[in-house]
Amino acid sequence: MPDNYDIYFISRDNLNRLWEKLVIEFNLYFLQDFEGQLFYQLIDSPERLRNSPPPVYDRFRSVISMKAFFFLPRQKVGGYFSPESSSLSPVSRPRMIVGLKACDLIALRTLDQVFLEEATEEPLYRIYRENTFLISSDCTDSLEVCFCTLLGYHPYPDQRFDWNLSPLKEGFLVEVGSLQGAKLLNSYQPFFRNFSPDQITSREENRQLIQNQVMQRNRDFFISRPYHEVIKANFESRVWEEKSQECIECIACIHTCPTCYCFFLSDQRLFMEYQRFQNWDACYYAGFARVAGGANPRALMVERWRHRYVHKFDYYRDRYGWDACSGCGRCIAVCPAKIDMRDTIKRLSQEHSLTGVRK
Amino acid sequence: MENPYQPTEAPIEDIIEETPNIKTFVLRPRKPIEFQAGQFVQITAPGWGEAPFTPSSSPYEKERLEVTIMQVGTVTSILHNLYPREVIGIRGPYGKGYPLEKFYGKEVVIVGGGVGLAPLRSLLLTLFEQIEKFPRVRLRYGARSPKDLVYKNSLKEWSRRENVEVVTTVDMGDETWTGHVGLVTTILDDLKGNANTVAVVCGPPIMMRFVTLKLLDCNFSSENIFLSLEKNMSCGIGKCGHCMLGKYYVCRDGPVFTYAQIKDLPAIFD
Repeated sequence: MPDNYDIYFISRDNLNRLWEKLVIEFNLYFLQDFEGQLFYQLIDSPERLRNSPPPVYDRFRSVISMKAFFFLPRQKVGGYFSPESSSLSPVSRPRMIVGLKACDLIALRTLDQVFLEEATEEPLYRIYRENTFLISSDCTDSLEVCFCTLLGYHPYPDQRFDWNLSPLKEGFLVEVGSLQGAKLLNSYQPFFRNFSPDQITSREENRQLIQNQVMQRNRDFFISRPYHEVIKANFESRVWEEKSQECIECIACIHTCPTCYCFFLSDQRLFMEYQRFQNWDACYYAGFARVAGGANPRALMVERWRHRYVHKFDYYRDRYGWDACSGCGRCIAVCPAKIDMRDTIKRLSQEHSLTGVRK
Repeated sequence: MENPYQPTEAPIEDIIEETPNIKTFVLRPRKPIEFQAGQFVQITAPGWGEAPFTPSSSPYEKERLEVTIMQVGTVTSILHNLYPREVIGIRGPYGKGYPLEKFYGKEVVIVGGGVGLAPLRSLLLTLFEQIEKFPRVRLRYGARSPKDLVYKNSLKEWSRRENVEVVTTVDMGDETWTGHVGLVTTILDDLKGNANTVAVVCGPPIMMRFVTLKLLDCNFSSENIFLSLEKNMSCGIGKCGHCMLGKYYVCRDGPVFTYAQIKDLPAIFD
C-alpha cells in the first residue's frame, strides 16, 4: 500500500449526506443496475438525487466505458474562419463520475497520453478532463470476460483517481489520489473519520479475494509469456487469418473499447460558418487507410484485424512503454461472433508459424 | 491554448494549370507557415474536409506558399473547381522534412515521378539556396506522357545551372517529344551509390518501389535512400491512426523516411 496517500473512513450514511452537498456543485454520474449490468446515470439536481436509488459502489465495471466522458463519439473541435465560430465551451458544470474501476483508470492512462501529449494537446479533452472528478472503487465481483490479471493488472485502482472507495461492511475507506481529491475532502472534513488498522486489513483481504477470483476465471487462458511478447513474435501466424474470418466488422469492440482512440475529422457548413468535428473511427473499416488514388495498405480484413492488436501491444508499447489494453473484456462481451481475445493470444502462443499471411 | 485542428485562412492568389489534372495553387496564408522542404500541410476545402500536401515552393519564400495538387478524389476535385481570390484553409507544417544536414558535402540524386516532383521542387529550391554545400545535384524525372510533366519551364531553367543535371523521360512520347522514352527506372542506369551520394525519391507507390530496388542495385545503401511516403491522413499530428505504417505515424515520424527505417514493415508501397 503506498504510504504517501491519505486514507479516511466514511460511513454509508455520511456518504449519502455528502452526495446531497456535492450534487449542488457537480453533475454526478452514478452506476445503476439494469438487468444485472451497470450503466452510468446522471444525477444533476437534489430532487433527482432524492428520487434515485443509491449508486452501486462495488461489483464490477460499467458496460459503457468512461471514454465518452472525455472524447465524445462526435464533437465540435473547431470552426472557421471567424473567432466566434472557433469557440469551444462544452462544460457548464463540473462532473463527478462515481464507480470507475481499475480497468477504466488504466485505460485513462492511454487516452491521457494521446490527447494531452505536449505540443499537440487537445483543448477539448483538457477541458473535459479538468472538469471531471474521478471517484473509483475496488471491484468486489467480476464478469466472465474480465481479464485484467492476465495483463499483470489487478481489480482495484492504484492510479489516476481523485478518490478511491474500498467497500467495507460499515462504510468505505476513501483513499485520496490527487491534490484535487485532497482539497475536496478537506472542505468536507466533518463527514470523514480516521481509519483503523482493522479496516486496512479488511481492504487488503477483500482485494486479495477479488484478485484470486479474476485469476481463477482466467486459469484456462493463462500463458507464461506476456501478451505483447506473444503478439510481437507471431506476426505471420495463421491464427490471425482463422480468427479474423469470424469478424463481421460490426465495430462494436472498437466503440466500446476504452483504449481505442482512432478518429476522423469532418467539416460541414452551417449558415455562415464552417464547423469541424472529430468523430470516432475504426481501423477495421476497409477504407480506413485507403488513399484517394486507390492504394490500400491493409486491403484484407485479416491485415486490418491483426493491425489493431499489434498496435495495442507492440507499436503503442514501443512508443510509450505500456499496452493500450486494460483487460476489461468489453470487446469479448459485445462481439456478436464471440471472438475472445484471450483465446486468440493463447492460440498464438501455442502456434509455430508455418504458413502466414503476406507481410 | 492553441487548437491543433483550427485551420488558418489562405486566400488563393493564383492557379497555374500544370497538366490536364494537376494544378498549382499559389496561396497567401494569413499567418506565415514556416515549413522545411518535405514537411506537409493539411489543406481545407471549406465545408468539406482536408487532405495533406507537401508544399512545392521554396521554404525561403515567406509570403507565398505553393501546393501542386492532382485531382483524384473528393477534396481535390473541390479544390480544382475554385478560382483565384477564393479562400481555403491551411494547417501545419507537420512531420519531418528532408534532413539536409545528412546531404551536406554529398551528391544529391533526386528521382521524381509525375506529381511526385512537387515536394522535390521544394527540396531543389532549398538546395539551390546553398548550392555550394552540394558537389552535384542530379534530377531524374519521369511522367506518363509529355502532357503529364509538371514544372516544364522550371526543368529547363534548372538544367542550365552549374552542377545541376536534369534528365527527363516519359513512358509514352508524342509527336512533339524528342527526349528519352521509357519508365523513370530506365534513366537511372548510370547512377552509382557510395558513401558520398544520397538519393531522394517521390512519386506513385509503385514507382517508388521499383526505383528503390533499382537504386539498391546501383549500390545505394538503404540509409541513403530517402522516401516521401503518402498516406490517408486526418489529424496530421499522430493521433487519429489513419496514416500508421507499422509502428510509425507517417504524419509525425515521416513523411520522409529512409528505406532502412521502413524496409521491414508491412505493405510499405501499397
